Amino acid sequence: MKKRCLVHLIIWLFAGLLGMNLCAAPEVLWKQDFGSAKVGPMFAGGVIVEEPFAKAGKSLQLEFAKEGALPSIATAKDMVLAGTGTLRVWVRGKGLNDVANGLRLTVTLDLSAAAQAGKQTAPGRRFQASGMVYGVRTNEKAYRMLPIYFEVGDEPAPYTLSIMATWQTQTGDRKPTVWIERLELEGHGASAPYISGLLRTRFMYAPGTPVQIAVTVVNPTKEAFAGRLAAEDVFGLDGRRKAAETAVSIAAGEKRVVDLAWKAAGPEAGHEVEFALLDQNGKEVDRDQISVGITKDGRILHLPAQDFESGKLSSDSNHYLLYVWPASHTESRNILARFLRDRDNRTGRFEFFSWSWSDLAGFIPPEDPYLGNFEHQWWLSLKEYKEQIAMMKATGTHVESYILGVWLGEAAYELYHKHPDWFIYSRNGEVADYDMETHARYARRHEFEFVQAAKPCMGAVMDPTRSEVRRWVADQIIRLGKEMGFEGVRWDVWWLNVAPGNYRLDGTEIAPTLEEADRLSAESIQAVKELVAKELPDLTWGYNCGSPEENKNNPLRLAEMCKGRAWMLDEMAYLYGDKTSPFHFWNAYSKRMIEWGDHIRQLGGIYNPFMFGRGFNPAQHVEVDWLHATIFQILAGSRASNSLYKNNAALAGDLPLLAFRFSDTFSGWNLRLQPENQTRITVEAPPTLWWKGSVFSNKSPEGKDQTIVHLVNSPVAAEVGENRDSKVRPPVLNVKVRCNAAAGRLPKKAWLVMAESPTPDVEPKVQAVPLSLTKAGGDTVSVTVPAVLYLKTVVFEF
Amino acid sequence: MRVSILHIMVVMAIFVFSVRADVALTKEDKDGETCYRLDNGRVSLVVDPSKGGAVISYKDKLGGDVELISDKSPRGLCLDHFQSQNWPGEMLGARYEVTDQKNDPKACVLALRYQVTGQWGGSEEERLKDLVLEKTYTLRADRPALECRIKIIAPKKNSKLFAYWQQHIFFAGGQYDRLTDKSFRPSARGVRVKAGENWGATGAEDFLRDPCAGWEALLDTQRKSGLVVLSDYNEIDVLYANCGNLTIEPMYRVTYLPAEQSVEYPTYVAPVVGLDNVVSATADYIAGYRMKTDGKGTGNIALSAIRSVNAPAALSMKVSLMNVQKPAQVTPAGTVLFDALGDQVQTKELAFKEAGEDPLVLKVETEANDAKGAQVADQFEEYYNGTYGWGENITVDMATPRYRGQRPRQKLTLAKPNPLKLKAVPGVQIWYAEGFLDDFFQVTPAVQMSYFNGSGKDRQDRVFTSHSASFLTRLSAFPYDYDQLFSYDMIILGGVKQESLGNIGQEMLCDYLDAGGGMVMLGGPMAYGCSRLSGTPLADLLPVTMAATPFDLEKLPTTVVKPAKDCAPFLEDLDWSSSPRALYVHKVEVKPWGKVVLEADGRPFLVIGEVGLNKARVACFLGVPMGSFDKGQTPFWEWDDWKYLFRQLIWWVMKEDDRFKSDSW
Repeated sequence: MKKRCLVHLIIWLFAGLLGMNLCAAPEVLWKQDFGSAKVGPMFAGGVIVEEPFAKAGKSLQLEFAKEGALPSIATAKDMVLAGTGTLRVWVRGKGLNDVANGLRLTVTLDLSAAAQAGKQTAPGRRFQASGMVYGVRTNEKAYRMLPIYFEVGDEPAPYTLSIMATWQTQTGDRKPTVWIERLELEGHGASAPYISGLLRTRFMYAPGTPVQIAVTVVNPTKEAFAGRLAAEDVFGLDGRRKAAETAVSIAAGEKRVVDLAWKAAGPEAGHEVEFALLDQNGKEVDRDQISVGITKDGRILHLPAQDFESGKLSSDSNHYLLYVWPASHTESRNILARFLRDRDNRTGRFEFFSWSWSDLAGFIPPEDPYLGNFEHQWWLSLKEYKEQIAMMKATGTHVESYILGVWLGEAAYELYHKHPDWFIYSRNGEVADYDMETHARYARRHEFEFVQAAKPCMGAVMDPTRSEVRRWVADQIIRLGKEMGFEGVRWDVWWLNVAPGNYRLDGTEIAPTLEEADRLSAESIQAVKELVAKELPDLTWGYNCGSPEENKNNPLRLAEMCKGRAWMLDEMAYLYGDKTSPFHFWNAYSKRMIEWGDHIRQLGGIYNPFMFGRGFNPAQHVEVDWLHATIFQILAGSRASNSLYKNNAALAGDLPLLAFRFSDTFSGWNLRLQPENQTRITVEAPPTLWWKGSVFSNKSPEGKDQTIVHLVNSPVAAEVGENRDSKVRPPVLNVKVRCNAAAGRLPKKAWLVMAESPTPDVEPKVQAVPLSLTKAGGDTVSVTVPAVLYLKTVVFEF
Repeated sequence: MRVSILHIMVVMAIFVFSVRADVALTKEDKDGETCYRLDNGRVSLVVDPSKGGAVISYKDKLGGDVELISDKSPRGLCLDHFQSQNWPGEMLGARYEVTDQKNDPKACVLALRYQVTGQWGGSEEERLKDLVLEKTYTLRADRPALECRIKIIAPKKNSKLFAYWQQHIFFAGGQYDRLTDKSFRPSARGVRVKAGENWGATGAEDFLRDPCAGWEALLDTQRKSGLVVLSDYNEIDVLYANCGNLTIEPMYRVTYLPAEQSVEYPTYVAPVVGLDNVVSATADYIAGYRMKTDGKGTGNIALSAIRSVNAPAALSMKVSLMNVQKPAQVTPAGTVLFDALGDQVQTKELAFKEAGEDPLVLKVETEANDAKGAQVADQFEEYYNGTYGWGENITVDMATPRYRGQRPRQKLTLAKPNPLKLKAVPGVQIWYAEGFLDDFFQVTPAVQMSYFNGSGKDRQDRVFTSHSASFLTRLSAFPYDYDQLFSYDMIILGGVKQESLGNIGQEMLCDYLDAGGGMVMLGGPMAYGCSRLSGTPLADLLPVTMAATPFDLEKLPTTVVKPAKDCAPFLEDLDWSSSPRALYVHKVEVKPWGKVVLEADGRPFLVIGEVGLNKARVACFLGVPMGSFDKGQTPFWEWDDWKYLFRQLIWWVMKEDDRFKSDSW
């Protein structure tokens, strides 16, 4: 067994080396070793101590006293940097929680004042990156390197470095201690040319359209450089093709932006583009990569990340400027520029939320500026919205309009006045909500002293079984596409549905039974979609009605909604963390998510479940729950509207990138969940390793049959919210996965797909690594997975 | 069975305090002010006359003998306030006069008095000035509940209008905890439970506008202790809880008091020990509950009860469960019988099955027997969400309740001027309640053209209707002041519903018409049948009988509105050539004393009549200003002469008949 482990370790090390830059190793540009520091207090909460585990016998000891930031632990001035780099920190610790409540180390790189004042410029003046010290990767008696990956501007410029440590809130009486032995900053030095920046023109490219990426190449040497720049498109489990190549020549000390372009091709999926800078002899000088989506519908690859090391979302939070606050043209443009620069940003879908004048009753206002509706009762600019929609679309993001299905505000009031028989009434004859004072006040909206009301003057829903209503709704949506430029819509609250208890103005009940209501609702949705499709055949649809609870009595409606890749938001899932929910048990949650996600997929929908509480709130939620929930959501084929878990320090890696890059494996349209009693796959593992409910069949984009099994090292606690210390199980080692023949055929290939560390001692990386198949007798082959920390996926291909 | 030390201590405490001591009233000095301590062995409290006569200290020995009232202002129980004054109002720091003290070992009484100045925030409110507020505390030896009676008396010469607001600001359990201190308030949507955060989808809901009983509770749910305040449901407008769990504050209805008359609000502050929730509270019991289901109709209920103001010799609770999705499905769960209620919690359990999927409504009929065998029946209900989707009683729009029960009818006690007589005041006074779509009636130009608005004495008051799923239809204001109401020359009632007027509003409007006031009622989708006024005394005063169904609109084939044969004089000089049309009219029956003035396709469109001894003039528009017409057709409300018709109707209603009389030379 030991021998086998060693072989695997060698394989992993080799694989790791393949992924590393072999040609132009980054240079150590700065380092600090606390071994040379004077023993004694450095600042309150930090002390240089003598200790036996540091190479030089001394280290900086940080003992938890209270949550919050400590003084800077290191600084350096005028460090010339460009592009990517890594701060490596050698740490050990005790008393830390496994994957939360750690010590955050934040690298701040401020563009020096001199550089900003001079001709050198960079986009933004401060760049930050963070790393977390957690129990899962620290040992009390040995140091381990924690990498903190950063990126600064493309232009080489002097930066001031500072490194801050911040204690996170601790659970219980925990008082952890962290020791830092030394720090090293690696970056591009002056010894060789390098790639300092990759700038996509879009996040997503439709097949057949030109992929354009601007590559900034810097020659810091004293000699001119002449060579080539090559781009390779990497996709699927092992797909790779040459994308573009061009000659590059750069004078000494100069930089150059090289625009590479090629036609988007290959499967509709998340791709990675690898760039290699080659010298005249073909020797690789530098390498870099960036992900792009190849799809005409960015929604299917919409997988934003929340980096739990930095606590930040991948998409800039300033995006609210795009649909809520008044923004100058430059502010809007800057936000999108920042989006595009952010390598972690995989925004495939953007929804302009609650922007409209009166939603379904009349989206587009008769005046500009106009008084917004619903949640934003303030003045808005139609002109700016149109500009922002166009700007956002230019990034390849699928831009949708939110629709509050309720007929709102002044337009609804007018419409009701003209067509009272279009509306739905309650058993008591009520037509939903109204407020005549708000209506009266609206008439005075152009007065200087006008104060807007908190709610619109009316909210009601209409009878979708009427052909006039269907026509009206369709016309409204057609205007959204044609006049505003939206590519899709997502409906909230009401989706042309009727229910028993809905009455017409004449007092007749529209649908006395649930079955009839389901039939009429489905028919109404279909009718409106058909009317819209005549004018806008590519307009996409979405609904926040994607949970089983909401569809218990509506199978026909659900099927009609899902058809044609509808975005199915499962809002109900946000309650699953509550103790009142039957799904707050992880085994129930995982089953519910995976099975329902598969159901939605089979109906043709894009599944989009909410996270607990609609998003992470450190005061309420347990961090490790986000790791597990993200795993089960990814296995459910979900695309996210709440960001998913990314955490290199926890050794979990970039889970949303995993789902993006291997989208065919995690959310492909041909995936089919197999019953728990399937017989093709067996896994030798303890029961804490969950796999039985996550075996899928698949047909790859190349038409090959696949069987996929996801191996999940299950949560420590049985229930959501119970693992306050964010503990994780030890890795499960040497997991043997057997695959039986299908129709007499044995798998020909196998891959191990992961975001996490291959083995606990290696840094996490999103990758698919070939596995060697071993005949296990009869019609069975097997593979061995060296370690499952949280999630590893085995793909057998026949 | 494992018995904890805490359990033993509680039992011992109950034993000790169940041997009641006499009650005592003693004076004590606090910060140089004379305060009064009332102590009955269980409850010990201090009243400070110099601080609005409020209770500034409260300890319940059974509840841990901890101080519930912070030493930082604002604090205290039984704080007096008027809603028309900005908080905290003149009474929070006012010095009350001690008018009586009774130190009887069975019941101690402390009586206080305050004459309202109406002065607050730099202004003086005439409608409050010189009201006298008498506050009488009674603590009995045999009751843990403190009785506080508020009597408000109008001065000898003037009527007054006020809305009383009683505030209880304290920390349940003796300390504030944002998450575990919770308020409990009964509403038509079930008991609303709010803590200091985690408000849930319905938001803060400080002002609970659909109470279904008069109690409020604030409990420390960890220590299982706190207070219940019992007030008279019939007088309650809103149950307020500031920020969810800092206060409990019954807000009383706007009340008109004729000169020299008075109103009295009895309230009780009862300590709670042993319950971590309250599902119902009356003078006889305070009850909590626990319920659990499998989500599919099988489950169990544990009902707990302690004594309240009274200690009934027996209490029964008959329990059934209504399925929210299928309201006709009501599953009996059985009856639980409690022994004589005391301070110790009694818990009785019931199991049920086949109640259907969550959510469910717990319906309980109670019967309390006192020692003499007298029975008091009551009932309450509670919405049980269980595994139903959204986490609480809402639907997908995060606003509409999944279940909304009927609020019990509030019993009416109105103080009225005697005799009921309209007031002659200078100028023209019109009150207009604008309902849904009523703006299309062009009330504004009709009223503006009806008189010369230049006297400086004229008054047009417009109030608005609003409707929400939680609180149903409400009016932005109502002239609860008889003096004001009786000053109006006429009122125009748009789509105003029965619940928005309330019992009091309806009775006052009846009084107004009985006194000879004039009224125009407008047609609209929320009017007549949908208004739920059918069968009410107010409907009796209309010249038409409205339908009992909410769906009383008849769609006509774009019919021309025209004068009936026997038309009224106020229809003079109207140009009917453009053929004003109506699409919708309310289906009504014209009463024998009603006169059809306008009709549409043979249906009454405008009906007038005189009613009552004082011949109040009432006009009912039955046409509804809505619908789409063919090109070239004129909807009646867009007819050029519509506003003239309306103006002339106003004159008729205001009995300005001379305007239609020819001079006879």
